[in-house]
Amino acid sequence: MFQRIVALSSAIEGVVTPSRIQGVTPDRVAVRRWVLAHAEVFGILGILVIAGVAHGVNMLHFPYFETDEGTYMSQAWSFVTEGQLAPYTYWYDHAPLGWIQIALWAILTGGFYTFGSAVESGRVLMLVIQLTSTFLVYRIARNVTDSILAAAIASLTFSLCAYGIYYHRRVLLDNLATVWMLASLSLLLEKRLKLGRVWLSGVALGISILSKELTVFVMPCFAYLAFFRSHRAQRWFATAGWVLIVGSIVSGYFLMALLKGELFPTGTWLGGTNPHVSLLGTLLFQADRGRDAGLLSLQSGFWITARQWASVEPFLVVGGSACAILTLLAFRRNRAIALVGASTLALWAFLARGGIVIGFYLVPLLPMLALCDGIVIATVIRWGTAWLDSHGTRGLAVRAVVSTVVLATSVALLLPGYDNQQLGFHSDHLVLWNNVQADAQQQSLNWVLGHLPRSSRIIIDDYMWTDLHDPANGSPGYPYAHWHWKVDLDPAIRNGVFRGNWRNIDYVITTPQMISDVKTGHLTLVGKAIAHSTVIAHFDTGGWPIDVRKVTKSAS
Amino acid sequence: MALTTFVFVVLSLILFGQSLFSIYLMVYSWEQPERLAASSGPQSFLPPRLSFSVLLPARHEEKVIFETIRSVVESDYPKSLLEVVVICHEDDAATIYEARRAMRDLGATNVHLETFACGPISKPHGLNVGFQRTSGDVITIFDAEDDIDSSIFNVVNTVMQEEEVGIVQAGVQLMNFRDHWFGIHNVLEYYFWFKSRLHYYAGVGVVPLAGNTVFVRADLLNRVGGWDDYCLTEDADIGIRLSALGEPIRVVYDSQHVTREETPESVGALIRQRTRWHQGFLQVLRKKTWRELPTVGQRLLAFFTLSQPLFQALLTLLWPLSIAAGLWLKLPMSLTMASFLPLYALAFQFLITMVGAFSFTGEYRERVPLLLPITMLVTFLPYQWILGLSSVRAVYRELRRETDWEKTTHVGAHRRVGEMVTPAGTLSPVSQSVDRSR
Repeated sequence: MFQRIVALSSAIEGVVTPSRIQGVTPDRVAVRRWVLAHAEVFGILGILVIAGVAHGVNMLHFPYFETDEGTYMSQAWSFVTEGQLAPYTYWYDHAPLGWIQIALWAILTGGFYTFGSAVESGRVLMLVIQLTSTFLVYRIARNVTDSILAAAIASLTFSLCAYGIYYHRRVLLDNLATVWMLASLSLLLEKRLKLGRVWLSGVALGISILSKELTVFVMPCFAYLAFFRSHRAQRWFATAGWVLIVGSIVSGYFLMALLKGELFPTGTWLGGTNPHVSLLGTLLFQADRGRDAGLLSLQSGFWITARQWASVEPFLVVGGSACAILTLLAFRRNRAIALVGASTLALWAFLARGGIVIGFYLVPLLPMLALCDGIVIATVIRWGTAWLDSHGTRGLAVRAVVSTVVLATSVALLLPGYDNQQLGFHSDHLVLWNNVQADAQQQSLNWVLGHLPRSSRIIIDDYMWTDLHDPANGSPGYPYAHWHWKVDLDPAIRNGVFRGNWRNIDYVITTPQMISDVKTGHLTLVGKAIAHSTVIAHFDTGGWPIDVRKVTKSAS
Repeated sequence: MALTTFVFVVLSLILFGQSLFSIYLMVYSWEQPERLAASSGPQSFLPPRLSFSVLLPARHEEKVIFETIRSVVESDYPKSLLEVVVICHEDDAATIYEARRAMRDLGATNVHLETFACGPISKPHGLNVGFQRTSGDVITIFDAEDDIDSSIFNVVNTVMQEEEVGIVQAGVQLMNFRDHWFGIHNVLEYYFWFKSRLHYYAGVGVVPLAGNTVFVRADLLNRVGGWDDYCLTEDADIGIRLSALGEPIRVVYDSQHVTREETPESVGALIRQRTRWHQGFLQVLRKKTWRELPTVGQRLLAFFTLSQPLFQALLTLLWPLSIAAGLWLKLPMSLTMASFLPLYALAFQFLITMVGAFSFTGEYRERVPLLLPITMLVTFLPYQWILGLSSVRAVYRELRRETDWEKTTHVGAHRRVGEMVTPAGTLSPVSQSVDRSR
């Protein structure tokens, strides 16, 4: 449809600007023609600007810096400065490629403090990732349906949904895994598939899996996509190579553990007898976490969280999932579309496996749901307006209007997300751009750097770990500032640094998350320290209060 | 210690890079479907117009020369445009006898026998002698054990006219992959070489030609002055010299029209053959004619290709050391992981070889032995070791200037039973001992 608009405009031009009109310089005509021919490029740029503004404005102030963000930044810092995978004992909770990429970003941008504190520098990377992901979503939808409407719906709903902006701003491994997964998919959907592209797609998916493991679930769908999209003569080279590449990259994680002697758990035949962390041990531990019936029981953690998601983002969660199922019907007609839907359902299958489902787990699914929405809606509109083809210019105009209305409606359907009580949207719908709750964390960090002696024994939330251990201005750090989880659960810290006694703790810098973790995680040492402390400084700039507490070590 | 670490890591990275390039060449033709289509020959033929002179150098080939002459004479091309020159050394009585018998029994007027007595007893010298005797537009070479396709002259006639090229390298394919343990790897080497790798070389403009099924216009041969009498791989040498002329070289691989050959009959024979090839490459490298190639990229590719034997010899000798280093050197994790990269590349190369095996058997409609994947897996590394050993041997021989020609014997194993049956009633002492190992 789009090419016909361009051709039509050129034809109209030819009619309304006859050569006898003076003053119409040929340059203006040429420019106009060039702009129209490249209108799609401008459209994409427009979408990226919208996405960039929605994500980027106020991104360093809201949402608050979560513990995990600090953890990943500290691990990236440790990789760069100490050559280790984590400042504390790396226990294979996640494959390390995610924070290795953050480390590379830090090296590329000249350190961890180029954009402010460590987490803030990480958040700038998240902006770059978000723009890339939005572009890839556009491209995927465009290639698989040949429809600009599909691409526009998919990319705009992906970039403007409230839940998405909230979590995309955060330094999460899911964001890294998502962008690489989208890159892998995009490469497989190129118009002309070359062998090198297919294998590059394998590399991208391998990186994605090692950034966050859950994307391994799309492997069968993507492998099949590689198989039937490649030309018959190159099919087996392409697919076998793709599978081996993904497998090789993932095997690197296991190889590393093997070389460190940390693949098999202590006590097993190959694991040795001295206590050590192990990859397989952690895998088993995580598989057991929050074990319940998953998909099969409506009271499971999965369904509770899923219902929550559905109520705040109905267009994407309910609509997208329904569209994913609908795409399967297109299996015979357009297999690529069906495989996009199948990949979406594969990721849902992971969430529904019957294990723990945390609030931000929807992040890798968001672009896939947006894609399914865009693809199905655009296809339906195309069928519905096919009869307009024979109505010339008027039909074209009607079609354009209908597409615009549909696009606007799709974006409007994201509004319920801006009422999300859990994420803080209920009281202020524009909280994403108004609230500056993370400032309190910045202020508390500066206060600590200015007031507390460097040798203090402090329990901190991990968001300030890097900034305290390696301050931005080059001054000596706080070698005894430790993350609350490690204080209680890592023997090297609990016994080595604090000798199991709360009296050895000087300060505790609490966040609502720490207080909640103390209760749910039964962190007794930290809990005692908090109970015996008084607040000496308080910061609250938007609903995430930070207390700097001094531990009173009286005999009681 | 730091030096050992550095050398070890650098070696690993070089190995890895080289493996990647090799993989790229192996799948070059399959990269895009258009390339695959372009690698094969024409579907329909133009009427015969070019005249061909076939040079058939032979030494101690009495078992196979008769059939070869017959297949050329009986090929699908007008006799008036085809002539055959069989070249033998004067003292090779058995082969001369068989050649004369062929000329007599087949009643072929376009077959001549050339003998020479002076000069080195080598294939290039024989070719030069024979070349003087030819009168055709296009000179071609076939080896005495070759199984020639009857339409090959039509193919080349069409290609040369349609695409206006003066040099065509048509496909050569080993066929008997079941006869020896190394057979499948040897066969696949040829498959990948003629179907894919050589096309990359043709694209760059540097083509190490093969020793047979190569077609060169007579005037181009005159311009480069014929073959090098003393070179062990006169084919690669003339290929470089012809490339230096700037002449486009077309490579054609069509499973219907390949020249079929046989693998060497033993591991020893294979090693001798490879030693000769590697040593020949080193000779050509030494000659420095590759320096005359027009562009830097071509010179780089030529240098890289011709120095492969050196490279391979070095790696073969250092290989056990690097394993030892990997086990005993205490490297930081990232470097240890980097040292595993060549292993991953090798695994990938094996996968490509395996897919190639199925591609080959599919293309030639050969039955796939049930245990083929397993036998390939087991024999993959030993085959690489044999190639490595040959390169070490080649470097050693070249350093000691041992340039005599270690000939490979041919028994016609690739020809099917039935084709080998000589006309009834002719009892020659030699033909009765023809090997019918197929």
